[in-house]
Amino acid sequence: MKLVATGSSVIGPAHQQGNSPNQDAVMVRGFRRGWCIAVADGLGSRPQSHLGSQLAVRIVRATVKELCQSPEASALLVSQQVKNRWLKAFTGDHFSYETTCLWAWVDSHGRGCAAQAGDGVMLTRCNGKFRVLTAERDGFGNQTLTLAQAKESDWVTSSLALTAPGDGILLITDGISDDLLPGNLKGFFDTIFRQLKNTNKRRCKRWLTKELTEWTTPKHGDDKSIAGIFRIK
Amino acid sequence: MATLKQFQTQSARPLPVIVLADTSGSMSVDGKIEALNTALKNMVSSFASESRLRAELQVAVITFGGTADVHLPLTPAHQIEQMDPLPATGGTPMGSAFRLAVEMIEDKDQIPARAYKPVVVLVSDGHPTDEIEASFHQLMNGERSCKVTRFAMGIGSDADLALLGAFANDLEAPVFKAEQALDIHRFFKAVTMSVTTQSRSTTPNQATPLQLPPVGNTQDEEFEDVGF
Repeated sequence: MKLVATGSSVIGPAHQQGNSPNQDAVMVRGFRRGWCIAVADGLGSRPQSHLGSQLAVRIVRATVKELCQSPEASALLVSQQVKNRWLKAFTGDHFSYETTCLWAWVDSHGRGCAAQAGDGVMLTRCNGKFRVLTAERDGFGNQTLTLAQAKESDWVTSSLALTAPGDGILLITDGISDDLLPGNLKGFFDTIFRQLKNTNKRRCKRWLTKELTEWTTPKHGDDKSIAGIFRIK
Repeated sequence: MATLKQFQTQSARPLPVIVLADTSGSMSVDGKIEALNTALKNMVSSFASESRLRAELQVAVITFGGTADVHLPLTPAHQIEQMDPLPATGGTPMGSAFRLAVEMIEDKDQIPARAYKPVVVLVSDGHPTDEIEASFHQLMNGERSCKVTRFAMGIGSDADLALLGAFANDLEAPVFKAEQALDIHRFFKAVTMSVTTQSRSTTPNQATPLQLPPVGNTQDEEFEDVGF
């Protein structure tokens, strides 16, 4: 079995124009021959949300590392720990730092889990079957639940079993997912898989960054982040 | 070389503006309907001429005069070639207009989930003449309709200011009271400013509060200074 992971985050034209920082954060880390990934989208309306999103992905990495060996560890348990640790970092004053959080972890055997609080989309293929894990949102663009607000029932969670080549998990922030044609998310997933399969990790990241930078949806403005783990062999 | 372009939509995110316009018989006096028609036309042409936006401004007009009708379905402002003048006749079926607005807002084919939060503008000079409680409740509590930005203007002394006040959710300007034709123009100018400022910002989903322009600029000269 060969697992490969990739990720990229680019600042959106709206923030570039306003000299604001990229409010998204992305994390791709390998450990114990598995992978841990996360993307977080800091709320545009909150002045320090770029720090909130960076902290969220760092906490995901630390929490997964700590809990992944525990037999009781589940996607929800890790998610609740991530939320609690994130909240603790701000001692009650987290309003300016609000962010979404999507994360996934896959071990060296291709088994793992994924979870999401807030906007964005999780796409997966397990046992050869493609699925969109995230339900369509009820409201409107950029009205999102945040990591701090997420109750147990708000988390979208899933276990993962990457049993065949082509299986994988892809996490994307709404700066990307809101502009994707809904009918062909599988094609989007497969294109990234093929790119990762046919090039090396560094080239794939460069390609992803170029694709996100040259986004073609008219008047698009959001920051864009993506991270994925795929089984290549 | 593979590309992700083929998976990207080629339409901008919409920012819908839905005007609920009272076109009952009482609007035909004192130049009210004429002022409303001119103000609507100016708003649409301002939207159409804006090029620095992060959204596609779309406009819909629901009228309520005798019957409630979708006078103009949601249409990109730059595609609206002309606004047909609204006639003023009949009673004030505001409840039916609310129902049409809820149908429009809750319909994901008309307003997709990627759209920015819609702005709904209610303009009326009287009390509703149909059953309003159920549709008003639906508008305030619908899954999506409860999330929209709502502005309201009462025209003249007979407007139902209590109802308009309950409708509006702009904390800085709960209900605007128009006492003359010029005020209708000023209100729509404020709505235009709010929507274009919002859609130019880095956070187009956040409503910008209404700020009424001062009286006395050149565009105001086309309005007669007659009280209602």
